[in-house]
Amino acid sequence: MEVKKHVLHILRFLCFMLIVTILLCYFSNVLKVNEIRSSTGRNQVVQEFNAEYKDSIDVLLAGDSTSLNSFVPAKLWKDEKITSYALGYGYAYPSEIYFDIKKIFERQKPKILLLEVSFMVGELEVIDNNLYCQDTVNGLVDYFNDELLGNINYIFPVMKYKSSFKDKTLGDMFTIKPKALNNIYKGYSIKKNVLAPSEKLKPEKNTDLINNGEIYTRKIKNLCEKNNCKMILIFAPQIACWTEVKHNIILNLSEKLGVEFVDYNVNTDKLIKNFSWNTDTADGGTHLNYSGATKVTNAIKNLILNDDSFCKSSFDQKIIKKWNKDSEDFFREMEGN
Amino acid sequence: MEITTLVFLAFVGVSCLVYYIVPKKIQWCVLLVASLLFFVFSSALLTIYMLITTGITYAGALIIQKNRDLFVIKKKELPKEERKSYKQKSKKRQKILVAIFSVSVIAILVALKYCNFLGDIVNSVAGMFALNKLIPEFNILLPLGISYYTLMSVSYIVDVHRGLIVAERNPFRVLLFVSYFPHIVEGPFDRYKDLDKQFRTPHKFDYEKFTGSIVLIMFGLYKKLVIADRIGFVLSDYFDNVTENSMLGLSIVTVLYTFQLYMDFSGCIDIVSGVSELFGVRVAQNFRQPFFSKSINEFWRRWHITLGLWLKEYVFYPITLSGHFKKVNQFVRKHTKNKTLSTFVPAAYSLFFVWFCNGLWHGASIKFILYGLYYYVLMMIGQLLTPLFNFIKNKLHIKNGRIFRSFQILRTFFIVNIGMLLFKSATVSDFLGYLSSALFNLKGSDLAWAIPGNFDLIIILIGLLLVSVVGVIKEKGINIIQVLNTKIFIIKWIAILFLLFSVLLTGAFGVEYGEMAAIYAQF
Repeated sequence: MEVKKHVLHILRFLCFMLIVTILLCYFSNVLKVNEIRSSTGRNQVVQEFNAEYKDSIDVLLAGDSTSLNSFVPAKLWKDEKITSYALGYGYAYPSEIYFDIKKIFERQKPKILLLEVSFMVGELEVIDNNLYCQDTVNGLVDYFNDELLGNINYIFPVMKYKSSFKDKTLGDMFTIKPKALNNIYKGYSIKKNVLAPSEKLKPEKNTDLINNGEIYTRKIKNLCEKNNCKMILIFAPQIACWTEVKHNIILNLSEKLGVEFVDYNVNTDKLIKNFSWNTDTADGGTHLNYSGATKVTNAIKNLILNDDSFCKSSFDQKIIKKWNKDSEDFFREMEGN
Repeated sequence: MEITTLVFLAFVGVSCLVYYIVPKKIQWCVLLVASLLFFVFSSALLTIYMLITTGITYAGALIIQKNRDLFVIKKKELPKEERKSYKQKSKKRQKILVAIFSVSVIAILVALKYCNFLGDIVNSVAGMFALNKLIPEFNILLPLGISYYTLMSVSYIVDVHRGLIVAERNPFRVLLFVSYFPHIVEGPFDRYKDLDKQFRTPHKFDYEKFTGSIVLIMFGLYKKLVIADRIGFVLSDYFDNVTENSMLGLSIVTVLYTFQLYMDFSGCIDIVSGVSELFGVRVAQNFRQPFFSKSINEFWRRWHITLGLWLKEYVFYPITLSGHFKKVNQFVRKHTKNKTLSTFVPAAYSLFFVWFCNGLWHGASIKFILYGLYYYVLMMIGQLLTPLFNFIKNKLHIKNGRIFRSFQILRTFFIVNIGMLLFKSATVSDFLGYLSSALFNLKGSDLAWAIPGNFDLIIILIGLLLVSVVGVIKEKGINIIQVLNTKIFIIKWIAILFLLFSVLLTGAFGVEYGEMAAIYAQF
């Protein structure tokens, strides 16, 4: 009798978990964006990226909003016929970028990953000593949490996509197959206004790699190695937030991991031709405008072309056709505005 | 480790698995290890403070117990005439011991939590005499749940002194009581006699109870992440942007904040109660539908119940039994023949300390002390004016019908909201500023910030409606979890699935919302 009861409970539990799994799959799909409405949430970014043909991206730039405003993939295609994409979010965090890149490697085989690192360093709320080992313990707990959340989102991205729930209509709830959202910007986030920096911000106190920054950079590097992709750390021009301390932190990290590091805030005049903080930033030195982004793209182009290990792929006609069209549309839109 | 994170739920899951696998005799050891791990994950080396508190509590209780036992043995041995003087001596020694150990435990709390507040007071007084800052400001990290475990330790020492429990000889059992992880973050204040019995009972896995606990946890997560955190997110828009408050705007925001605080605190209590019940251990009830209260007294018997009970047991009773109180009582009776006044003054005297401590427990600031005293003053006024109210009520032939009860509930809710506005205000002058705006600014230019957007509003209203329905059912004495357990399992599944997917889809967590720590965890 007792055994029968236990078996019944186990069967009930399995049944329940099956329903939960089905619902998770269902919501992971219906929460994808069917058309661009008001929200430009995280699901839309991933979905637009997934609209690219399989194995059609050679260069991937990942990071937060700083990276999205600094790199124009359409220009790289127009100049050198190199396919590229900028993937990132405002307030990106390391585990999120890691799991996105992991997902991307399932469909794409980028040869170079440019990891824009400004989201990796920040001001930490550290109570002036390490006596309490608070940071280490918090880091450990955060790491477990990020891994759990990241892995769940990797399989069932319900939580990652949930911001689009508010834009859903009843009809959307029955559309399991979402549209592929083509993005002619290829991840680039355009800013056209000019606002020169008034004064440089004071250097932050307690600047350090954010929690688990090193762990996830290492994991991204390992992922790249596994997929024959070269990882380069870059620091996009960012006069309002950049400090020498941040530079040194990333420099140390790059040496530790044995990866290349290019900081466009150091020797900016030499690395980026004609760059000027008076004309190339949209908000006083945190994000670049279109003029600044094209100049940084030129600098990145030089970086890629000078890399001996890089050899651009030869794509079939449908990919070339799509990129030509998207690039034309992009520049037409730029000229139109 | 926040109790609303995945890592916490995973931690609970693993602990639970181990708990039911190991031999029943050592189940309490699993709870102890889990509690210590939880503490270390949350407070790192600050755990040492909790261990010191436990050490003092354990040793103190044993010494007090030894003194009690010695008295019983010696009493039998001594001749009758010497017994009385020995009893007095022993009682005095016992009181000194209780005071020493209780004060030692509280001293750690004061040193960590209140030192900057006390320093500020000293510096302010020094400033009046044109002296420099005498005490510097310290940058102190507080260990997890210090206000909770300190008061629970005091209750253990005093209960041993009162003979309600026998001092535990095994230090690890005392450590488990002090550090028990479900009640360490936000309470409730449990008593040793209630918990220890359950720790000693072997617990067999019970499917029905287990799934019932999951419903409770999910309901707590729903209250916290869907309602409280969404209101918190909406309110940050108001408090970050509005400089000129209006009566209507501030009223909406205050009511929303009251609901936020309730959903946040009671939601977390539901989570910890559910987690504890997964291990077969029932913690004390901390809320009983407080917004159905007809008076402030009743409100505090329904809101943060265990804090009220603690203050009653360990502040109110000792004061009313003290020689000092007796003197006050005698003095009043001697000098007045007014019956109302002769009961009012002693009550006012003893309750002052209770409400002062209530305010001070919430935080080291004048604002929180005033928060406690706000309720004290209202209660005292209520007590003084009760004969007048009854007189008016009788004259107007008002009966205790549904309308009058509704009026009482609304009146209490209004008073509570003013208290919550003080609770929310950063300083007392901010609170006064809000009040004056609310009284004199009728324009309503802040309404755009005060009223949540459509989506937020719908989610909040649905949430409040759901919690209200559950509250009404509970108020009628029906235990929903029990009902779900006795009905067909499909209903329980639907309840869990509804709560789970509501939390996943409409919970205000993630990058867009930022992290919102549990409000009462900071105390």
